[in-house]
Amino acid sequence: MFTTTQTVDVVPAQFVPQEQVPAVLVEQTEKATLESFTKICGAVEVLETDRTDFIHGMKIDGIISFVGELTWSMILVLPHDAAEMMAKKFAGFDIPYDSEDMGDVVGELTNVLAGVLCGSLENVGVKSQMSLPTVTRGSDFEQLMSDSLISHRIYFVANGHHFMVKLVVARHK
Amino acid sequence: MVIDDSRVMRNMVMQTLQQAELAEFEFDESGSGSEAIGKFDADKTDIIFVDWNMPGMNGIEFAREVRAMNWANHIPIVMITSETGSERMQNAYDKARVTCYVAKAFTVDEIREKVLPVIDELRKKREKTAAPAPVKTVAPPAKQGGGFFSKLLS
Repeated sequence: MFTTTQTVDVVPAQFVPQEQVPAVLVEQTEKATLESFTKICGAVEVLETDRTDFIHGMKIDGIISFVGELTWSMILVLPHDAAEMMAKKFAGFDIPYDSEDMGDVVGELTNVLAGVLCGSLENVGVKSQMSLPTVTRGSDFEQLMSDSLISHRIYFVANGHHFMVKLVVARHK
Repeated sequence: MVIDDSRVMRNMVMQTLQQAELAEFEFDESGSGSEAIGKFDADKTDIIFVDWNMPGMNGIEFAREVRAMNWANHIPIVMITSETGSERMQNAYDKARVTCYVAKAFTVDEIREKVLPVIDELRKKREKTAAPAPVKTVAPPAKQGGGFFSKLLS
């Protein structure tokens, strides 16, 4: 899960020193999230800030890593109710939060977002390849918090349910 | 045949195809490319829907395997994918001779639009093979009498 720490040296020279997540990643992730989730859920908005507690309470995370001209990971963070809403919108039928199918759906949602993001990045000249998704479910945790990593959080709201996309890149040493 | 490592996605593909009312489908499911190759029966399979990103044998590798089978390489393969990069799409067509692709998350209308031409082509092929062999029309023998040869023989 913490594979990003192993890929520090792959980040190409034009993107280092790395003290913040490259703007192109933030912009294209925001765009890809709006595009893919608007199609699935209807209206989706980006929030400048969000007071939702994305660390405590039940939630399910979908993680995908990317390699290519940039190396980073993307984490889709869905609190309990947002996960149930999105799963229903995506699959067309109710999927209980605790079921195995919920893991499947969140993996697919993460995959869809990552696919759109890869396409958006390719359109601006950044080629990348994505991994298969990993899904984790639980409460009171946050993914990829190592000191060697830099992260950027983008907050969204869809149908009154808040969710987050976190981008993580390795800090240049 | 519907191949996807996600049970939910397989159900979504089958449900959407039925809602699209393109044909009466009988589904066979597989959770991976290698499992599908093992149980694949070309005589009972009209069309294959396969996910691109799967652990083990992915959709592209599966399609290439099928295309290498002489007895099965005519079966249309529809790639279901979350990949949207144009270069990747081109790779899928070129390397695996994929018939068409459907991007996730798809709607009933999108499935109908992409899959209808494939189903139409299958129907045409089936009609051709089901139709009786055309009867050869043979022209009746020319009446002898006024021709060059009859004059010569006489």
